[in-house]
Amino acid sequence: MSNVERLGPEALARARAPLQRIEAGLASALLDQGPLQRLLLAATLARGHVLLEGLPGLGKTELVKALAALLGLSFRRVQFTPDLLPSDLTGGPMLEERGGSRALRFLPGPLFAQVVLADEINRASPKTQSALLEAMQERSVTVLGETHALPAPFFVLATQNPIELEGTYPLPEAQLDRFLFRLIVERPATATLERILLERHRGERPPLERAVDEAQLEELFAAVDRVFLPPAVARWIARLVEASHPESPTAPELVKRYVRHGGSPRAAIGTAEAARAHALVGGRPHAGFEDVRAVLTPVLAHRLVLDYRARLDGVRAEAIARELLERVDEVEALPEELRRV
Amino acid sequence: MSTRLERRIGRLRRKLVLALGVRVASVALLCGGALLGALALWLRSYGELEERWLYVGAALLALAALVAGAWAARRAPSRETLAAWLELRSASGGAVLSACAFGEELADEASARRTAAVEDGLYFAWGGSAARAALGIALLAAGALWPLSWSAVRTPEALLAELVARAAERFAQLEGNATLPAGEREALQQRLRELAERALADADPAALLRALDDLEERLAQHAERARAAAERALAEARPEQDAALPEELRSLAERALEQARTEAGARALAEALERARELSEAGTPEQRGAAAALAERLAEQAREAAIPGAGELAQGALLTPDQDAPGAPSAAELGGQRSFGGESESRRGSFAAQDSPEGAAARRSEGASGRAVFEEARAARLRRLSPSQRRAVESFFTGDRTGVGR
Repeated sequence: MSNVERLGPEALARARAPLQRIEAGLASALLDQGPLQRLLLAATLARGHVLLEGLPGLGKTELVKALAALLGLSFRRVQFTPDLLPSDLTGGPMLEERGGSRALRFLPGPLFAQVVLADEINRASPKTQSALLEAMQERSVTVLGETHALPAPFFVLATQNPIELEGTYPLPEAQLDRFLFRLIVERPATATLERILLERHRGERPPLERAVDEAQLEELFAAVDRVFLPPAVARWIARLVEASHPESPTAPELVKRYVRHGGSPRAAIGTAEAARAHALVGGRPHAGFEDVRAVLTPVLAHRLVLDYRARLDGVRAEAIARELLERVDEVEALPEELRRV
Repeated sequence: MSTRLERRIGRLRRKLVLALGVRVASVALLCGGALLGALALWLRSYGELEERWLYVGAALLALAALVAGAWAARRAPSRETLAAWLELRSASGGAVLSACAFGEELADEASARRTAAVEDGLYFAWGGSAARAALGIALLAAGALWPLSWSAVRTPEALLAELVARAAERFAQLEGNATLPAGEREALQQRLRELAERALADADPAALLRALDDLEERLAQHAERARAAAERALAEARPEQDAALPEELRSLAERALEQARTEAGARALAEALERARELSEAGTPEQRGAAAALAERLAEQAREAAIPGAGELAQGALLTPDQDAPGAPSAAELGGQRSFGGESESRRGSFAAQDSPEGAAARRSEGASGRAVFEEARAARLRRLSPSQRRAVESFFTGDRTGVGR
C-alpha cells in the first residue's frame, strides 16, 4: 500500500514511555489543561511553531518553559516591544579584536536556541516580526549575506494578548501561516485555581526533570513520520481545506459569509502532520478522523482571513473551523441511507 | 484470502446495494403499477387488450427491476469508502483504514468489537419502500383483474349484442324443443334476423332495445305455453308408467325432479337420465317401456331446468326407445309429448307426422337451420366486437359469468 515504513508495535511501545513522561510533566506544570498540553506536545512532535493566545497570567510562559525543560532543549525568551529590532533577534556582527587584528564576528541573537519564547509577539513592529519568517520557515537566519543555521530542533512558541489592541501590530497572514497551531489558553476552572493555591507556593511550579534525551527525541520525530495516514483521512483533510474557501462549492454558509481567504496548502500539510503527531501521542500507529478533528481548529483558525462582517457579528475563526468539521462529511459520496444511520 | 474485516465490508456493501435497489424498485413499481394498471383497465374497457400486452407489461416491470438493481450497484459506494464509513462509525482511530490498506486483520480487539457492533446494528430505514412496492403491485393487479361488470363499464354495442344473443338463444332453445308452430317459427326467425342486422348496422339503440323487448316477450310467452303443456302431459303419463320402474330408479327420478332447480338436482337428474337410458336398453320389456317414458319426462324436466348437457343425454335416451316394449310411448305420443302439444289437434298431428325417422331428421335439420341463423348472427356480431366485448358475449352463452369483463 504505502512504501513508507510503518510504525511497528515495538517502535510504538518505545515511543510510548517518553511520551507519557512528557505528558505527566506538562500536567504538573499546568494543572487541568489536558487538551492544551496534548496539542502542544503534538505540535512539538510535528516540529511546528505554536502561537499561544490568552490573557496575561494564565501560564503560557510557564507552559513553554516546562516543555523546554522536559525535552532538554535550550530555551530563550524574548519580550517583544515596539522598539525591538530584527538584529535584536537574529544577532549581528560584532567588531572583535583578536591577536592584534580586528574582525567582525557573528554574535548569535536569542533566536539561536532550540525553544524560543516570543512573548507578546504582536507588540513588535512588522519589520521585526518579519525577521522571524526566515527563522521559522528555513530554520536559519541570514545576516549581512551570511546564513547561519539555527540549532535543531528549533521551535518558536509565541504568545499574544488578544485584548490589548493599543500599540500592537497584528501579525501578517504570511507570518501567521508559519505557525502550525494557534492555541487558545483558557482561564482555569475554580477547582483548578483552588488546587494551584493549595499546591503551589507563590504560584511556582515544581521543578521538572528532563524526560527524554536527544536520541529519544529524534526517535519520536522519526516515529511521527512513520505514522500511517490513510488515504480516506488525507482526502477529508483536503476537502476540509478546500471547503474553507468561500468560492468553493462545498463551502458552508458561514465560510461563504465571513471568510475572505481560506486555508493554504501549508494548512493542509500542517493538519496532516499534526494528525500524525496527535495519533502518536494517543499511542496509535495510524491517524484517524478523530485526530484530524482534534487538530483542525488550532491548525486552520489563525490561517483564515475573515471579512469585516465577522468582526461586526462577533464570529471567530474557531467557530468557522468547527462549522467546517460539522458540515464537511468525513466520507464523501455516501448515499443517504448510510448518512442517516 | 480475504480478512474478516474485508468480508464484513463486503457484506455491508451487499446490504447497501439491496437497500438501494429495493428503494428504487419500489418507486418504479409504484409508478409502473399505477401507469400499467390504468392502461390495462382502459384497454380492457374500450380497446384491445390481448394477452401479449400483459407480457409486455410484465417485461417492463422486470426491466425496471433490473435497471433498479444496476443503478443500486452503481450507486453503492466503493469498498474503500465503506471502510472509511466503518472507521468513522466505529471510532477506531484509523485502525480499520490501516488494516484495510495493508490487508490485515484488526489487531486491536476493541476496534474489532466496535466494527462488528456497527455492522450488526446497521438498520436501513426503508422509508415505506415495501408499502410502495406492495401498492404498485396491487395497482397493477387491480388494473388487470378488476371485474368490469362491477364498474359497469359496458358499451351500448356490447349490451345490444348481448340482448340479441340472448333472444337468439331463447329462440334456438324453443326451436330445438320443437315447441314453435311452423309459421310462428318463421316469423320469429325473420324478426331475429332483422334485429341482428340492425344491431350490426349500428341502428338507433333505443328502437332496437324496444324491438328486442318485444321479441323477448313473444319468446317468453311461447316458453310459458310449452312449459304448461309439458306439465300436463307428464301428469297424465306418470301413474301407469312409474309402476313398472325399479324402486331405485323411481326414487332417483323423484328426488331429481324435486331438486331439478338446484345444482345438486341437476346432477341427480343427469344421473337418473343415464340410469334410465341403461334400463331402456337392458331391462325387461315393461321396464324398457317405463324407462323410456321416464327418460322422456326427465328430458323435459332437464330442458325446463335448462341444465347444460342433460338435454343431450336425454335426447340419446329418447332417440333409441324400444317401440315394442309395453308402455313405451309411440312415435306419435313421443311427438306429442315432445311438441308439448295441446294447442290444437292439427298442430299435434302435424308434429306427430314429423316423428317418423324422416320427420325427426327434418326437424333436426330445421332446428339446425335455426341454430345456424343464430350462430351466423352471433358470429357476425362477434367479429365486430373488441376482444373484451367478445369475451363478455361468449361468457353469456357459456353461462360463465366470471368471464364477463375479462
